[in-house]
Amino acid sequence: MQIALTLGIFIGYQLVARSFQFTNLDWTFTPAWWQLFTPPVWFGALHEALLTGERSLFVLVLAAFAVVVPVIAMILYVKMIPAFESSLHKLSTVEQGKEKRTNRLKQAFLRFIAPNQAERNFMNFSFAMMKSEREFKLKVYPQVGFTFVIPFLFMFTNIENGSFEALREGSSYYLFYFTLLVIPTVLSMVKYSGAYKGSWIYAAMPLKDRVLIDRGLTKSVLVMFYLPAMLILGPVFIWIFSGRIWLDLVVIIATALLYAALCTLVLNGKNLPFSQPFSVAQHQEGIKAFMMMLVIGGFCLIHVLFNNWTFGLEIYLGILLVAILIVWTLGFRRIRVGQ
Amino acid sequence: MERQEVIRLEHVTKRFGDKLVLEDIDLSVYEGDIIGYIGPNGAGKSTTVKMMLGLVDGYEGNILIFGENLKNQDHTYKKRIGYVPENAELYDSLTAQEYLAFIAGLYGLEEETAREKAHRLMMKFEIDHVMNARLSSFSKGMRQKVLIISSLLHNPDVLFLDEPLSGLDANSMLIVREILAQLSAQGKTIFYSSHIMDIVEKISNRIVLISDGHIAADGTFDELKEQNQKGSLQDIFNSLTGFSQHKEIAEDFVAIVQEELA
Repeated sequence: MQIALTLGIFIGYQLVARSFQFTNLDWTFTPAWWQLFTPPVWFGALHEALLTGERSLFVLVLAAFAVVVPVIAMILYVKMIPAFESSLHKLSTVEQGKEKRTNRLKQAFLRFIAPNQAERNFMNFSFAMMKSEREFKLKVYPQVGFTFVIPFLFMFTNIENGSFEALREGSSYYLFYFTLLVIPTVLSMVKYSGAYKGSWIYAAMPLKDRVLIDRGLTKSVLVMFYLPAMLILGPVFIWIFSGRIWLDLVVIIATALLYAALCTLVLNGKNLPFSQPFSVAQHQEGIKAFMMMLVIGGFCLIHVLFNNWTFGLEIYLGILLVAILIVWTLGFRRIRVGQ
Repeated sequence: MERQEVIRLEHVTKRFGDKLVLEDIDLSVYEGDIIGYIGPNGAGKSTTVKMMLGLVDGYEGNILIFGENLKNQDHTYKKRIGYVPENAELYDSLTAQEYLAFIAGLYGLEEETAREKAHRLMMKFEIDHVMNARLSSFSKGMRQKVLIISSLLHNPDVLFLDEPLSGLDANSMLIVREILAQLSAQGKTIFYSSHIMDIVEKISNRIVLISDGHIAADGTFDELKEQNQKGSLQDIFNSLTGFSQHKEIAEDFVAIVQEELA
């Protein structure tokens, strides 16, 4: 619920800003149907209707919303207080919990990407943690949702300045690089947990190989956050830009694999996942994550360069694959349990 | 049958900064032992356990587990050890099922086996109906049961328990006590630290009392009774730790509570 709220605010900002077209240093308001869903505009309309005497039907409807909706909301709230209370009560008592069906397909997929039992175990653990930790979800999910939207916001801007056809012919598909943003966003948070004291188990258990933790973690982040981005945005991009960009998308996805490993190494270092309290989350971390985000720009630039040559992309993809192999094996070896 | 030595501490000394926590401790533990490890707060009980688990290092002397020195050991010996820590801290946003699956996985159990075994154990503790509920909604006793299960999933040879019965109701305590007794009869070693003397008296077949960094007593309950001419472990504990003013302290305390508020 809170997550939906935060995401709503993010997108709301964008929409409100877009209600006004910036022409000749003059903010002019252009009405559109979707403004019915943006409360700030309602109140703006109320202001317009009362003070400047604007009386067009659209403005009046919006103004009416500004009055009616809060009243309805208040009535609803009062009516629903008992329901809220019982939900609160439920939070503090033991829930039964639903039996989770084990999905064979998912099992097989996990087995495929993480053949090692210990590594797979860590993947399942981080899945469960990332799905259930309130604070983690609150900090990460809205931003992840936002990165899904960013490419399209840019595209809308482009369409406003040109035509949809021009966009399709153009090279806006590099916007797909924005999907990589989810990786540092998530990976900079995974070392924290509300129940960080539970991390004694790392020390008490027979952990053969630290590498398995880091690899399992990275893979789980990729599967949980990057795979959906690929599956949803990939087809949309193919639809917009046609099949000509398929190799570019493959290159970007390969970059994501390489980049995720680099992020784990840089952002997590020697920290074990879910082993630090949120309260120690430092400003410096944010800067590190931001630097990693700039790296995406670098990858994008290299991509553009290689794209200028014939077979440039194929060569670049080859280089990426080798780099992935090296970082995922040797790179992870370099961080070992420090204590 | 000759009972094998499982744990040996040789001249173990541990300092935290300037503070001496353990001084020159020698201790041998054999299979089938249920050791009640007692001592006042801050006497170094938990530290000893943590050192044997490899959670705390930087000590002098040697600790041998299964005949091998911890200093030259990798982590493999931990496969044969189960541990229930003092404060039931666990990743409580997980469900019991998820948590137990994770722990079992760390010990190298296959997912399916682990799930099934955990479920059957939870059934015995009558908490299987909350298998898929978050641990954060569990009572202290239920969490404790989950921890006990998690420490036994891999059938360890040595169990380290720190206040394992806290929060359990009387019937569950009885079950756990019986479990410990049967495990020990099978040759498992149990290292049990607690503040509740009645339980230690009943459960342990050997009692080690630590005070001021030294082992103040070591033997069966009967031996300790004989040596100290006292009736209960509580009395022995008080006399060995040199504590006798509990009445006076209690009187002072109540007096302060009852002071008239001006």
